[in-house]
Amino acid sequence: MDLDDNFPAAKRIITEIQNIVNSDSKLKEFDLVIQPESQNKSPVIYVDHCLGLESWCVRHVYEYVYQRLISIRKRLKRQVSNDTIPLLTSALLINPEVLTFWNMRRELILDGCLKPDDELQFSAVVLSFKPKCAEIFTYRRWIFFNILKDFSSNHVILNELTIGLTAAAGYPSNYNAWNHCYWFIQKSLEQENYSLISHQWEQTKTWCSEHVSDHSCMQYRQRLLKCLVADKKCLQHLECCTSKSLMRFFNSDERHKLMRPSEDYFDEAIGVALDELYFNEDLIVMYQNHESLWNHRRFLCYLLLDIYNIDCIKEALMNNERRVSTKLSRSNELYVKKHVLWLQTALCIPIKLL
Amino acid sequence: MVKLFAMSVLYKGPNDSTLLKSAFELQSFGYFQRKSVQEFMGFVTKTIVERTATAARQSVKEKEYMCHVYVRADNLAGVLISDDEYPHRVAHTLLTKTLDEFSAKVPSHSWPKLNETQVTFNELNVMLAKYQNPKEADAMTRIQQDLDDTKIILHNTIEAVLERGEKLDDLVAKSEGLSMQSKAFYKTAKKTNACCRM
Repeated sequence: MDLDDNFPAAKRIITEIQNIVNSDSKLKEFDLVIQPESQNKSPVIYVDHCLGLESWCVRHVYEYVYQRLISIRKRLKRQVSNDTIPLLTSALLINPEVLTFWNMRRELILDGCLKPDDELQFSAVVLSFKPKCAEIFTYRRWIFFNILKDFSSNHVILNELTIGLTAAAGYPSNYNAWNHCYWFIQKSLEQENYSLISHQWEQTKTWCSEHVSDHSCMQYRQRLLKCLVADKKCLQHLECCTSKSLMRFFNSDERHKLMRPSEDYFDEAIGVALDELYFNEDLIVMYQNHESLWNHRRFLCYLLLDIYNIDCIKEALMNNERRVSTKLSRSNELYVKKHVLWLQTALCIPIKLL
Repeated sequence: MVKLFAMSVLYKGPNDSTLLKSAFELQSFGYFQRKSVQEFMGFVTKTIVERTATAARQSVKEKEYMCHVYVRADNLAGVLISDDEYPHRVAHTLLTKTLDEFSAKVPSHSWPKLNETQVTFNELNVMLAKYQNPKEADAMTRIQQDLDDTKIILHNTIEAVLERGEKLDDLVAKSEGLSMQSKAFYKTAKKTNACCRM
């Protein structure tokens, strides 16, 4: 097999990267460092648990590792060897979107050449460089699902949710990251662990108010909310003052109709949805003209009527939306109009602007 | 992201502007990018103040960033660089407050002669941290009401603020405040059409 060797430094560079990855269990970031020309020193920069590679050599290093990895992959009898690990490490740090390379690492895990815990650490570092890369998330889930097979530890899953949130902060509307979080929430619910969903519900509330145009985050909250209202058990760990929202939303007549002792769960669930509706209102007041916030509001209105389609809720919702629309019609004119039109046509709420 | 990245106080002289104090919050950027980002924000701050008239307010949008400028009638200037989700009104309120506090602390006759190393105004760092949450600004409603009467000129790119015939690329190339690495960083970021991602 002929492989051109016109960048002799490559082998040394990838070994250096591999050594850093191996020795530093607290490595947190990888990034390219813009440097158009060689500075006559090693292009690998390592400070403060952050690993950088100077941009001038990226192309050469990647060509070097790519050619070698593909030729290994093309062999009929694939032999696993520890020599491929440094090649894979550099290749994936530079370009994590190549599924084949992740698959080669999967094989190395199965053969016992790589440890799953180290791999979680390594892929988290890659994620710091490309926070939206789907292949990294899939790889992590694969390790959890096929190798570790344990979703009972809150500590481990919380760590995974934190990683998801960090990635979401690194790239706007990072659906892959939220999807990753939701997958773990589902797994924990399957284990009848109901504390994590409440934890995420609280945590993403703050996150949302810091990223008001990130509709992926709100969509994640929508999925959480659906779980919360669908299953009473999901609500048990939730700390919120839902009763306040209930008092605010319904007048005393309406409350009487709702408060049947046998259905206290019903109240709690509707309280969570109403809490979110008021939270959304606060954000719309503070941050004007963000479509994501209005879309989220649509979902909340829809959810309320979809689950509790009774007249008194419909009327209370109409009054509430009229109040909000009137209040915001000056600052968010376009979105208010759209919202009202949508309420009229989709939910058949005969709302009129004052 | 609702985020404040940088806040600076400058003095706008007849020909150029001098930085009197600045504070940064760049943790959301990658470790290796922070230095260039900071240099670049400093460069933008200075450039924009020099192109804002006395007693005027401007807000300049550049991709997902906003740069708010306020030059007072006495030529004291404040610049706030934020994410574009940060409410614009609050940003300008904050600038007014910052300049008020600065002039209360540092006497106005000294402004033309001072430079960054000679000024102590650590309140700037405190404010930058505190007002990351725009709700904190609720208490400043009085200033906010005054603001309602002022016109804020809004631009959609940095280029729009520059004078006729000026080009951002040329200004970056000529700038003394930017290191070689930051200039290369600017070129790469421009090529990939992303401000701080590669």
